[in-house]
Amino acid sequence: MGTPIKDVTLKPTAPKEVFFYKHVTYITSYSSKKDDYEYVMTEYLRMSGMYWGIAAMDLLGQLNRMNKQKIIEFTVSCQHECGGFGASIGHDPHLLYTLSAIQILAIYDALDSIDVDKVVEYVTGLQQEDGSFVGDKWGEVDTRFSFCAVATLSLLKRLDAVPDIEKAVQYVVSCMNFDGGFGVRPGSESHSGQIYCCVGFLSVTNNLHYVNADLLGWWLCERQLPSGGLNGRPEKLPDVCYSWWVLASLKIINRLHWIDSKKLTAFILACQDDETGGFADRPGDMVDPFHTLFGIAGLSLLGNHSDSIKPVNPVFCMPENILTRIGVAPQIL
Amino acid sequence: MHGRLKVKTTEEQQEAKRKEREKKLKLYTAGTQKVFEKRKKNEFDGEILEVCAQLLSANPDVYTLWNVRKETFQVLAETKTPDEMQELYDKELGFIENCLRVNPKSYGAWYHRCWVLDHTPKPDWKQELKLCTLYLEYDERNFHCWDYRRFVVAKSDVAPSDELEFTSNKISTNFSNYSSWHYRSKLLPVLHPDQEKKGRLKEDILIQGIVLVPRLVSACFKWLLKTMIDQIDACIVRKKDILIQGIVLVPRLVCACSKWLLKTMIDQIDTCIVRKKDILIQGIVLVPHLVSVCTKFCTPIASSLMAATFFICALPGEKPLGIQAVYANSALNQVMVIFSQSVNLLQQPAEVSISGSVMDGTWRNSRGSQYHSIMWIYTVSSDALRQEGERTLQVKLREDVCRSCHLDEGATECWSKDKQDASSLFTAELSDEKTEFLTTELESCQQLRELEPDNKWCLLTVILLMRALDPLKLEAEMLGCFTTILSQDTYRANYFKDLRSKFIMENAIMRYLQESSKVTESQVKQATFDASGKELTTLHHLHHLSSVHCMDLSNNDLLALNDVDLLFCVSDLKADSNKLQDISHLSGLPCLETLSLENNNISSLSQLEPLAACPNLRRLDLSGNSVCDLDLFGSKVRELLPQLTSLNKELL
Repeated sequence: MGTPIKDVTLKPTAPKEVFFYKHVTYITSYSSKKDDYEYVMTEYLRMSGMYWGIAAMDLLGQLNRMNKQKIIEFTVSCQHECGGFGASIGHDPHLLYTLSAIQILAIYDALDSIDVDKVVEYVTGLQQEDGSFVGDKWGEVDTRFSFCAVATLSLLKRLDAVPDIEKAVQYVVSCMNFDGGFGVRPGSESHSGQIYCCVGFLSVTNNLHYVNADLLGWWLCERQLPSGGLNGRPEKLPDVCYSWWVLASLKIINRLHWIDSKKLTAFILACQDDETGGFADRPGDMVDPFHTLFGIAGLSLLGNHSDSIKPVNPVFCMPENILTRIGVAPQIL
Repeated sequence: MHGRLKVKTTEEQQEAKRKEREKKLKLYTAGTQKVFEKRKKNEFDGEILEVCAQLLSANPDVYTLWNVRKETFQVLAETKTPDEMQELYDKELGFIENCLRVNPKSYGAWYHRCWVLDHTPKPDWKQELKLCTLYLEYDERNFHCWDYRRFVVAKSDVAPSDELEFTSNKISTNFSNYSSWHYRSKLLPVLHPDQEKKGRLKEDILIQGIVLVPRLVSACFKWLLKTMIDQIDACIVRKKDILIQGIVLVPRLVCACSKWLLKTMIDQIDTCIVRKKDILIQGIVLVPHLVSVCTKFCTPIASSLMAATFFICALPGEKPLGIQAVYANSALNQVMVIFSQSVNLLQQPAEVSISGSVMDGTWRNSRGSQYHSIMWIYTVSSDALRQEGERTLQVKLREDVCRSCHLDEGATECWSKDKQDASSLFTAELSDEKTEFLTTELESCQQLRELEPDNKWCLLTVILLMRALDPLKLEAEMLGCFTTILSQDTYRANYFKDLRSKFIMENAIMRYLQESSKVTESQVKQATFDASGKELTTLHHLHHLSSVHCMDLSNNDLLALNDVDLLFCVSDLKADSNKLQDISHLSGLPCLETLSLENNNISSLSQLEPLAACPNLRRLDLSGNSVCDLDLFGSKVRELLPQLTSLNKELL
């Protein structure tokens, strides 16, 4: 027999409002517990963790509560000789953390505090003969890295520096599947996170005409479960982060109205922790900064909390006003 | 962090946990320090591997530590013999397997395994394939493992047929295994390539995708599914007529199966009745449960059904790049071109020449955007297009992508376009054989529908089959199916409304083309394309209507006039009584003279701004929009649109 639908049930007592100040407190206090077990064990993704916190705080209009000076200093200190950024001091340079670092510096309007040419050199040096990008010098190929590369260069206004943009595009297109989605590499199964990266890549490079929007949009809207939450692949549990990736992809291909936004809003709100603030992947689970950003960003895209949350850009997951200031406008269908 | 339940703990428990974590933390921090120090001093030895291993066992996501291991192996390889390295790498593979047991979704661990296999002198690919099979037993959907499997398969030349068999086995265990269905979508085209369209699946085999739906519905019994997979796969390699027989058989089995299930239930109830009272009670409880299982037994396998339905949707192939139509208008001094695929003439301009000499001018797409588009408009910057006499105009993107049209003496416009055959515009042409097969398939699906009248997946399949067979004749029934789907799946109501709009528009275009082929050209010009009152929520395929002069889109549910920029020749457009807010796509329509937008949701002057770029707009009707209630509405509109001669039926 088949797998029964995997889903959660929202309790009648589940939160129905945004705990605005609790989230602010959650994020500010998270970064102050530097000796905390969780904090140390996630050192390997610190740069992304900081981006999640900072982007969330900016979307809540509370960025001034973060220690700008220290954050910029730390970010700058994570840049290596080669131009790439590591997740933290002592950690190796990688595209994932290079994008996070550039996003942080872009939000703080502090891109002039680093050697931008070096970053461009690092990113462009990671393109392969077949157009793909490796994440670092050790050679792992993934469409996430194609996105990281063009998103980083785009924020630096240096998209023209990609050695072979046409091949880069063709590589991403070669990862498209029969369901209209995209996977990690050619042949890989469609996955909402990869779809977000590939659709984002095509948006940044103005190539959304390659997307079969009706086919992909259908697959994406079928990700919504009875609880209102969205899963990342068929037969999987709903999750706030997948909700963001699916939602943002739908927004980019102009099909946001294909899901029930009220139901999704209810699901995201139910994932808040009413004691500590922050969002979890599912109601009742432990919160973390990653799901907190994607919960807030999701609510922003759904547009029904515009009094307390700034508009988010679906491609970069950063406040729209930052991209307007830089002058970056990725394609939206 | 995923799936970690928040649990209430006592203070005592918290304290114990805190102490334990403190201890772990100390070890972890000290270990990390040790590795980083040794790395700084270039001490790549057994000790650094050992400390790294301890740390990674606890936290396999620390990517830098995997890098340190790779560096260490590189250094060791300089002095050690291949045999010694082989031993080290073998041990490493065992270590990675331990890490994967802790976290089977660790990107770092899986990639490290690829790296080790790429560097080991004698990789044992068979062992790796076994490992994949084992990990896919733990978690049949682990995409890291599926990807690793494909890596192993590519490196060790495993036959695609063996892999297909593997997916069959996985599906036999659980037919909801979308990962397996996905893999089949990659394997089948390799096993049965279409000679003409390289890399695509043979159309016949693609059609067999249609049977996946009923096949899955029926798959409540493993043995039946196994039989069916074997049957279908056997059919694929046999002759076409046998293939069709095989395909037809499956839905019949489905019906048999569904009926069998009902029969079993009835038997069970009967048995209960003759037994003791408490068993009877059980029986009564059992009945509604079984009934609900029966009536909903499609739902749990929805995703697999979806995979199947995708196969049907994916039927029409992509057309090669070409020019489908060229239209020149000397009064407008413009040339309009429609391509079979999106192109970007701002990046790679096409050349426009008249009687052999190139005409200067500028390209813009129909949206006036910087992006790819299928429709491009060339505004000629000289009088070359307006010269007297017979002329031939040519648009050339590449040697093999060009098209000419002929301007007769005294003519101000000319068309050159592909013949539009109404019947094959949106559906593949069907042989008698295929028609017969699809008809039988539809009948079987209709039988399934009787058993589960509200099942969205069954209804969707019925709709798609009807569209393949006879979209015009079966229109009313199709609309009925949509009504049921819309009442069943409210979450995706807008998706299904948009899909319905697409099919309705296809039918309207087919009817229009059929009618047009029966009358003269000037009659066609005067005819109105009527798509009013059709519950349209979005507009599709409008490039097929680029030569239409009059169009009526009134009484629909449109929020925006998306894609109307493709109506290059439209001069009279009516879209009364919709919910229009966004009319930006009207911007730039060169021929638009009369525009009626009565009873819509236009509330501000800024919404009208796109009309400023319609040079020939003379008559505009906005009656029934709240924008008309604004102070000084008339004079402000005249200021914005000085080209108007009439507003809301009053002469200006």
